[in-house]
This record gives sequence, structure tokens and C-alpha cells, in this order.
Amino acid sequence: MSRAKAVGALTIALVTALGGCDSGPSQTEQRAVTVKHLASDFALAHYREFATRMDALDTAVGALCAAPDQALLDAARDAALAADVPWKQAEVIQFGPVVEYPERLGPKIDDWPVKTADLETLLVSEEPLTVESFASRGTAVRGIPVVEYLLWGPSLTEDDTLASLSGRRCEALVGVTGDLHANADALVAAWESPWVDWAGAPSLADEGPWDFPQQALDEWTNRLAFTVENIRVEKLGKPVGDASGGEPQPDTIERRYSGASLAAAKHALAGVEQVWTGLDGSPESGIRSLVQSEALAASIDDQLADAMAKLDAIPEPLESAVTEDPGAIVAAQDALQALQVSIQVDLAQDLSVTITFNDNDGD
Amino acid sequence: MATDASLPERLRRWLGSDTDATSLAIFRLGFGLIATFAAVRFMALGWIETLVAAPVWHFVWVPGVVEPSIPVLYGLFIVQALAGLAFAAGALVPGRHRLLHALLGPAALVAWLACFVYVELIDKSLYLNHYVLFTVLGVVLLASPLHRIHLGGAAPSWVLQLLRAQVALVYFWAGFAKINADWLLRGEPLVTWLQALGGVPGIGPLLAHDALAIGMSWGGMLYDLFVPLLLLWPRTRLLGVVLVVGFHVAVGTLFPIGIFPLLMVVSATLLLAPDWPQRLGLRLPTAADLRRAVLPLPGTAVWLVVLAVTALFPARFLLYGLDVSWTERGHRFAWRVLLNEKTGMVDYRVVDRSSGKVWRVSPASELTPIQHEQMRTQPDMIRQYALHLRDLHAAEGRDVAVYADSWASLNGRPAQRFVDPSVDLTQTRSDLWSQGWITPLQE
Repeated sequence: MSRAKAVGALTIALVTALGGCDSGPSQTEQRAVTVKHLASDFALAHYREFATRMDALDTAVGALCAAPDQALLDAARDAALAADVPWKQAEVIQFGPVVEYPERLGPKIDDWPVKTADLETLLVSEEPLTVESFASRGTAVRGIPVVEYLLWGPSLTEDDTLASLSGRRCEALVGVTGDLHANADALVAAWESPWVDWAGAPSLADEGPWDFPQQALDEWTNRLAFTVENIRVEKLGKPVGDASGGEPQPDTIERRYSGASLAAAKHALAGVEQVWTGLDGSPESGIRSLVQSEALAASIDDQLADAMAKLDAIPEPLESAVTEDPGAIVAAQDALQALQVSIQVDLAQDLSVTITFNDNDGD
Repeated sequence: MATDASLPERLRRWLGSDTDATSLAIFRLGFGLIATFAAVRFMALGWIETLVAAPVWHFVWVPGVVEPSIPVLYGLFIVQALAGLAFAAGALVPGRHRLLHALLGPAALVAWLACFVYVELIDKSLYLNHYVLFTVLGVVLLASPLHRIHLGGAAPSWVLQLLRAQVALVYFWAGFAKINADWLLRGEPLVTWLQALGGVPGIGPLLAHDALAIGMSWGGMLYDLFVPLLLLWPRTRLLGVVLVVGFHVAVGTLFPIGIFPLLMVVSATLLLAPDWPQRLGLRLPTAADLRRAVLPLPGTAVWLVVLAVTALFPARFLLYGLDVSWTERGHRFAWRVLLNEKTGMVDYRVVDRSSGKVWRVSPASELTPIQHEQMRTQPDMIRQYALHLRDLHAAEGRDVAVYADSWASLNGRPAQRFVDPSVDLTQTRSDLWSQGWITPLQE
């Protein structure tokens, strides 16, 4: 804050000298508009939708555990998959209460892969399985991966799953879903105040992490690149063996039990696409609208489409593809790599996002 | 009599004769206090944990350098802070207290240098030009008769002249490096950096204006090339001082560059008259006796060799080619400051030589953000990490080749391949250069 004020004092003479220049303000205003849209129409909207769908999942799980049958199990599973859509699309938002203390809600909601041994130990213990008890547990035994494990696991066969949903298992399902629901609501509440203002209209006057819109734009742009990298390295690379000398690692697959691994990757990439292009009918809400080079914008459009197509081309489920068709996975990684280069290097340059200094720098 | 002497003789007399040590003492005071401030700041900002201790693997400068434990690291920085204070205090102690001067001079400086340099050797990602300058100035001071560098003292002229030369060389090479099309014609990287400040309320739009960036680029180049002369010449000293203070305050405010402005402002005082504080009216003691002496021949030779090496070492990039900003060959230790905006991305493909299996490694999985940011645009670090991957796999019994898929952008150019993806980076350095492992910069 003080730095920016000092900048003002230092350059006042230059302002006077070159005060007639007017090419900057429109660009600055455009960026402010986009950042505002992203905070409210993308971030807050996605978290609200996530909370709504969590509410539906909570209800569906309650009905399932009251009288377990296949139809109710299917309904609960559908509700869980539906809740995953806005959540995974919002994966690009790795800032705010998802990662910041005191809330730091991200790991509480979705820390994968689930620690099955820890969870099974809990299930056979005499520990309480209420919503409140899950709220105080570590991330290894709470959140979406646990709901997924209980709804689709434990033995990866349909009959076993339904049969398992009684007693403490269902009690745990209700408890962990309630905890998730509460965390989704907490996420919305934190975004409604103060994060939507901090991210949407950054100001020197507030206590948010950014002092002006360009800094928030920096964050969004960096997050685009990180999300693409995360899909490439974590969601595809680890399962196909990149972290294990080329040996496939199915245990590292996200949403492994529900078979929604590739869907999760596509949702995350769809989130990137939404932040890039903006919402329907509102192109100014996307970062694309700020890009000076139309060739670069078109290139990123093509690369996004190519990456999505390559993800579509991976045969479901990912668990089989890592051994039977790793080439399709590598092709998707290549497409994502090209997209990441464009975002991380070219887009960052175009938007003047990348500053290679840090406080320990100075060149 | 002096006019009859030969040039070498006059040089030896000039270097060997005393000069008032006031400006040297002021510099010593500032040097020590900055050393203390830098160490305290490093600890206070948590950088011991985040920059030094956090990495699970280091880009060490020298094989065998190990990262001490966090308590030891704190010890190293506390020693730096205390040594800085002690060294500064030595500027205020009269010369007759020889033992005290030994403690506050060489002992304190050795302690500071050892701790400071050791920490810097732990990881290349910590490299900063001004840390190098800090070290060079410290070494020159260590070679000096420190017991004579205090207020009221007199020191042989060679000390002041060598320190002046080091400071002037920084400016010269920094200015020389700016004479290129990117800097002078395109205004890069200032165009990019200042546009990033376009959102600053009030003055942001001005900062984002290309004309300002280009004007600042030319101003920066001229400033670097000529400010030492302005400071040395009595008639232009006031202008020089105004420029130095204005430039470094402005740059330090606009960009987060740590102690660099402080160090440069304090160093610039060396270029002023030796008794500049007294000339400003400050009632400081002056040297009672300025001895006239001749620097012995060996000493003169050493002095000249040191000057020549430090003057010419930054020019070594000329042996490798002019695209030093892209290849980074000869970039370090050459005062190429605030010159490039370079971004990039690097991934590795690891190939098991016996099975032919291929897998990818993202360095971000292991490196800290600052390590990752630094390595992805610096070829030697890209190769060093490739060798690390080779060693990791060798420990598991695999013989692997390592290739890099890397892209970089220099000063606003589109991303382009950086390292040749077909070159196995586990080869020797000379083999790599013979294969042209860095893809030429496309304009």
C-alpha cells in the first residue's frame, strides 16, 4: 500500500508532464471490469452452485441412508457427480478462502486420494460419526473423496456398495456429507463477504491481498496456467507413471471409485475455458477480452479446444487407459503442455503479468 | 619533482600516498549497517525457511556445499547481523586501539564474509548482482588496512581508488549492457514492467505508457554510463548526487529490489571527494597527517591485476556471442542488471536407456517457487536439474537420458523453444555446447 502511494508521490511530476496521454485508462478500466466479473459471475456463482448441489447431495444421502435401495443410491451418486461439476470448474480459483487461513476450506472439501486405511479404521472404531465430529477431523478422512469412496466403494462392485451402506458406513456418509455441505456454505459466505469485494474491486483501502485490479488479474492468469499444469501433471501424469519411473499408478487417480477421473479433468479445463472466454453473452467477463494480440487469443482458443478433444479421446475409465492406452494420455499431456506454454509465457507477456522480481531479487 | 617521474612511478606514488579516510569511514559505516539490515530483514521476512531451508534439493554452486539446519542458518544470519554492526562501529573507533580494530575490522569482516558467502553458495536461485557487489566490496575492504579506515584516519589511496573502480565498473557494465535494440528501441523490459503497474490508482496509466518506458530506458542507459563521471568531477557532483538519490529511490519504489538501492547510494559516496562530509559542513575529525609514500612494486602489480580482472571479467560474454541475454552465458557476475524480462517453462522427458520407457518430470513438483522460476530460464540450472534427475534414477538402478522440453520468452517475444529437445542433458558441458544445445533466439 505504502509503495503504491510512494509511487504516486514520485511520479507526480511526470503525470503533469504527460498528463494528456489517454491510451492507458481504457485498458485499466477494461481490466477492472473483467476482474469484477470473474469475482462475482465466476467465483461466487460457481461456489453458490456448488453449495446448492451440496444441499441436494445432503438430501439425497439422507434419503439413501434412511432406506437404502439401488434407486436412491443412483440418485445420491448422480447428486455427487453433479456437485463435482461446479467444484471442479472452480478449481482454477486457488486463492481466497479455499487456500487462505483461517478458513482454508480446499483441503477440507477435496483432498485426494482418500486414505482408505484411515477411513476403514475409523469406520470400525467407536468414534462418533456426526457432522460435528467430521468437522474436527483431518483431511484424510473427510470431504468429497470420502463421499465418493462410500458411494462407489469399497470393493468397486455395485452389489457390495449397496450392501455396505448400513450402520456406521451410512452414518459416516451422512456425517461427512453434512460436513461438506457446511464447508460449501462457509465458502459461499466467505466469498460473499469479503472476498467478492477483495477480488472484484481490489483497493488500497481494503485488507485484501491485492491493491488494484491488475494484481488480481495476475492471480487469475497465473491460476489458469497452474490449473492446466495440475491437470497435466497430477490428474494425468501421476496415474500414467510420470512420478514412478513410467510405472502406472492407479492409486493416484482422482475420482477413481466413481470412474469420473476424466470428467474431473474436463471440468477443471472447462473452468479454465470459462475464465478465458468469459460467460455466455458477456465476453468482457473473460481474460480473452483483454488480450492485445488477436493471433495469440485465437491460438489459445485452438489449444483449449485441442486439449479438450484430446481429453475426450482418452478411453474411460482412466484406470484402464493408463495401462491400455497410455498414448492417448500422453497426447492429452502434449496438448495441455502447449496450452500451458501459451498461457504461462505468451499470455503473461501480453497482459504484463509476469514480473520476474521478488523481494529477494533485484536482478 | 613529481612531474619528472615516469607514469608508473607517479601511479605508485598516487596509490601509495594517504588520503583522508572520511569518505571511506562513512562507506564502512554504511556497509556494516546495510549488512546488519540485510541479515535482519532476511530473517524477519522468513526467507531462511522459505528460500534456504524449504528446498528439498539445491542448485549448489559448488559440489559438497550442504544446507545447514535451520538453527545453524539462523546462527549464520545472526553472526552476519552482529558482524555488520561491529564492522560499522569500527569506523568510529580511533586508530590507536589496535586490538579493538582487529576485532571490529578483519575479524568482523571475515565472519560476515564467510557467513554471507556460504549462504549464497547454497543455491543459485539466491543469486543477485548486488550480493556479488556486496561480496566484492567486502573482499576489497578485507585486503585494506582497516585500522586506518575510521573517522579522523588516513588510508592509502589505493584502497579508495580500488573501491571507486569497483563501483564505477558496475555502472559502466550496466550501462554498456543496455546499449541494445531491446532496451533502447523497444523500451523492453521496462514497457512490460511498467505496464504491470498500469492499475496503480492515479498514476498507473502514465506508467503504462510506452513513451515513458522508452524515455526511462534511455535515461537509465545514460545514467549508468555517466553518473560515475558526474560524481567524480567536482563541478557536476551535486547533479550526480541528485541523480543517484532520485534514480535509486525511484527504482526502489517501483520495483521490489531489496537492498540494492541502499547499497548503491552508499557506494556512490565513494566517488565523491574523500572529505565530502566536512565540505558539507559536518564537524567530523579529519586526518591529522597525510603521508606521502610509494606503493611497492609488487603491491602495485597486484592492484593493477585485480583492477584488470574485475574490469574485464564482465566482458567474457564477448567470447561466447552477443545473445547473452538469451543463452545466459556470461550473464552472471557481469553487472547485467535489470536488463531482461524472461519467462519460461520447462519439463523433462526421462528415458530409461535399457527399457526405452519414457516418462515426464515436472520440476515444479520438487522445486520451490523461486527455484522453479529461476531455473526455467537459465540453461545451466536446467542442465543441473537434469543431472539431478539422472542421479536420482541412478540411485534406483536406472541408467537414464534426460531431455528438456522448454520454452522461453525474452522481452516480450513470443515463446520459443529454449533448449534443444533432442539433446541429452546428461552429456558433458562441452558436448552440449558443441551441439548447440540452446536454440538460437528468433527475433
